[in-house]
Amino acid sequence: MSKEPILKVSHLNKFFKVKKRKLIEEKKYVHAVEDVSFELYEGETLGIVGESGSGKSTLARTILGLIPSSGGTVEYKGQNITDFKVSNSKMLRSELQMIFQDPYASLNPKMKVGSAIAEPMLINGQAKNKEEARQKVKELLQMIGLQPEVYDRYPHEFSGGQRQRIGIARALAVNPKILFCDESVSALDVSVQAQILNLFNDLKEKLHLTYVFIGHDLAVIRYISDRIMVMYLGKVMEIAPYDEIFDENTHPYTQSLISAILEPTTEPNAERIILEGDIPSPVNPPKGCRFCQRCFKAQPKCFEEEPELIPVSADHQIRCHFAKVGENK
Amino acid sequence: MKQRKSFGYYFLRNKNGMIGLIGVALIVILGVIAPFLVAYPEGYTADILLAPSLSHPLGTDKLGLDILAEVIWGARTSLYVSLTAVVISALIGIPAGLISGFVKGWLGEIIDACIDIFLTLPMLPLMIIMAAIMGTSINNVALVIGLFSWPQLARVTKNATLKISEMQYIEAATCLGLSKPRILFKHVLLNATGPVFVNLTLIMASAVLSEASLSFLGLGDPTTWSWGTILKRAWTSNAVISSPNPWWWWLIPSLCIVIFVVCFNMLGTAINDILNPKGRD
Repeated sequence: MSKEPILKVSHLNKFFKVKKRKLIEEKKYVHAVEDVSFELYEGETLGIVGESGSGKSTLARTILGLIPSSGGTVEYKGQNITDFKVSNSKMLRSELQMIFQDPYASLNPKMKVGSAIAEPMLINGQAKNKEEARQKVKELLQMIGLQPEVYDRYPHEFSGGQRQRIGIARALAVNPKILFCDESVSALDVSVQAQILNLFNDLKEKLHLTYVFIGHDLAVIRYISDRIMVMYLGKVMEIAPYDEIFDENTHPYTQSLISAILEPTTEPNAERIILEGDIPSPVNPPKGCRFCQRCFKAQPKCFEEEPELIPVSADHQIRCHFAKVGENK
Repeated sequence: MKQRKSFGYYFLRNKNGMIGLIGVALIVILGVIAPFLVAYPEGYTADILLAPSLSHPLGTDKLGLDILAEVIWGARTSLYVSLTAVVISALIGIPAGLISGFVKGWLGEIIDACIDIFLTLPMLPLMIIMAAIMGTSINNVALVIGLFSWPQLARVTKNATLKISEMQYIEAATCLGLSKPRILFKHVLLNATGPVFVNLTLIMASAVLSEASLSFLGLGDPTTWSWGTILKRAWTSNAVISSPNPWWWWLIPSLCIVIFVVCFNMLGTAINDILNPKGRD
């Protein structure tokens, strides 16, 4: 793993305006992503985990310029690419690709599978003519485990897992360097999930890809990730290497997520942490720590003062007042 | 793996589509080869108001002209007018609907306001005024009808666009680096074909009705035959209320209009069903 980050996100913000209901009312914003910074190194898989509404998908969309950011910068290989307002945006766009959550909605139902994959190739110059594109699409289809004959079929003729493979092939068509997988397996059956996760691992080795893997299921995320970033209510709560995320010294929210992983055992789990209530409204995030209202460790201090990301070891940061510095090493 | 079946395969198996296609084809053939079929009906003869017989299968009118010949030449005019009107309204309505549904901001707002204004305008009086100002020729009639039938097409296209542009595959297309016009005019339009196609055939049908109304009101081209012109002549000669009633004079062109409209509607619905890959089996 090289130490020069391929993607560097600094203090990225995304606020959505809330529609005014009354004539005179102060402007309100949904704090979907707030002050998120992280670095992504070539060849690694960064897992982003958090429950629904924690801003994971919004973060990915903001980085990819699918929705405009409200502050902060995104750097790709040292170049500022925030919102893709740069001259070589076409080339850069093809290097950062996304695989979507819903395999049923992410394929154009009126386009044949082959031409849907070939189209971005022809536009971004990965293939010069239709013949070459057809050839390359067939190779791609074989690589992701589908028969080349599916070229002339429509998406509705495929199952969810096959559709997700087609979605992967379409993203790979433009030779990306970084793949953002937005809950890419959560719509699939568990058995198919494993197949697709293995496919992701195979492709990573074959094509030297870097992944940002977004999910709400820590069991899936830990299967594929080198590092894990935990988000809650638009903020990064913890960034930890794979082998430190299951340590004692982690964020209380991470601990609760870990205790929610199902284990193949019949013994009762006495220590299971069950969070109460829902994620608070991102329009009025709580003063102090974002997690204070649901935290089992919360002290009066947590309601008053917001903790910073505290580095507890080289690659491990925790946003909690009770993180123990330097104990992990 | 089973062989993919073609558009034609499914079309041949769609009963309504085939009826519509045969009807439309008959009208088109009649219109195209009219000059080789019968002489252009003009002047007058002595065979006034003859009931349908072997020598005049659909009877004659008050000038002694053959109704069959008039109807066949009328099909030519009706086809020409409705096709031109559809092309004009498609050229304005489809891009207007796509843009107002997809582009947020002032451009979309302005187009949207235009659609609303055109939808609230009383169509027939304006058509009459415009036809009166521009003069009576079939080109002007077609232009007027086209200019007034695009708003409903734009509205339908806009509604489809609004729904489609929220879909994930449109976001995926943006992510893959496809340009906005390409997404709009290929991916969105491809998925909006159903409602747009049906609406185009409806406009085709209503253009014939409008053309008949304008001709009936005397604003059509008096030098060419259309189904509306035949009806107008029948009306001004009191054919509808006189006794004994020359029913063939007014009934035949009316039936032609009905058949034309019904056939186009059936064809449009069938194409819609077949273009949607899910609706085939």
